[in-house]
Amino acid sequence: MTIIAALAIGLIFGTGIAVSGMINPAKVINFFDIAGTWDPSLAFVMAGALAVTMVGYRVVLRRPAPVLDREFHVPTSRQIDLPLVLGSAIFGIAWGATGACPGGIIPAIGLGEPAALVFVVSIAIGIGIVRLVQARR
Amino acid sequence: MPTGFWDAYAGLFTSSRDRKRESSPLPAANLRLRSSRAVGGVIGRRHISSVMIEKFASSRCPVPSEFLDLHHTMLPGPTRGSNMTEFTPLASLLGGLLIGLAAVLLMALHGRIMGLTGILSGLLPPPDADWSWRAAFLLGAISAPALIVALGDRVIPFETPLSFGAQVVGGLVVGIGAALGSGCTSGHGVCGLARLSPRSLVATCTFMATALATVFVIRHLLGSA
Repeated sequence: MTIIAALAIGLIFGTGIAVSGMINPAKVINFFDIAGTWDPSLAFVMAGALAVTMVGYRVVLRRPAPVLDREFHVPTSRQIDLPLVLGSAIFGIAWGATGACPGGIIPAIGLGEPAALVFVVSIAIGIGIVRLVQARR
Repeated sequence: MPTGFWDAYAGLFTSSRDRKRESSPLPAANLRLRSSRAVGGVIGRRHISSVMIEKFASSRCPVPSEFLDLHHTMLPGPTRGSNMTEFTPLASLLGGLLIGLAAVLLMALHGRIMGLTGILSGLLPPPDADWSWRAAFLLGAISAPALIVALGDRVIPFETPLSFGAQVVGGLVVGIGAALGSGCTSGHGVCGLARLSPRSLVATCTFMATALATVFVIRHLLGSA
């Protein structure tokens, strides 16, 4: 049941990414190119996603536990530290340069795009490198 | 590869508007030509591609020479128009609502934050004990666009201006940054902001700002498309 539900939710997410245009790196880059070929579409993606999630989380997180698990796995850290800011800054630079964020580019594999696969494998390796370094400490 | 495959493949690069305008069946050569324009506009308006032209000339579909000349004259010049993507407020809003719905459902059912960096991270070796829902979620996310294209006869544009090497380096840095910062657009930008997490607010403002600055530097200071 857990798996089927996750598959269905993944389908909804992937459909959202495809319909919204987040799947297209060129569109993402244009969202940031305010001084040039600006395409504000992604502001609408964020607005739609945030509106639903804000209201939905309010309702859901009031319950004692999720339907398929014993507890909610929600990050509790509130500390704003160097890795958070540095990592986000680095992510933003690469996101702007490539137009590829994990959420947008993973579904793009389903389009049969070789570039999407290259991006995702590289992103996974990048995440793996950080995990290895953090595990050593 | 059968011709149909390449037609379908090239068709992915043409916008749905182009597709509608040319609803009559097209020869493969024409489709390929269009696809190169769509990509070329992004790749770098100045140097698309004598290579591409040669590829057409040597491709197995005979392309009339006047076609290639036409292609030359139709190449986007060094104007701003060549990077354009279509403004899609309604589709983007609808897509955003679906993304939000998925985030809410994943919390309601699995009790998980829908952060793609985190979900992917848990699948890397050694995989987390709960790898199965992660794999199922990603399988669904990847299947959705494939199903839309296969069943709906819709065209989903995908264009990247980057070379293979740049894709590898760019992807690596995306992964390193997202993992170090504990999240990306979906985790911090949607789920975190929705929870009013101060960490996510800082992260989202930071990566939005550096992304804006990066695109400005690449496109307007360095001048490459």
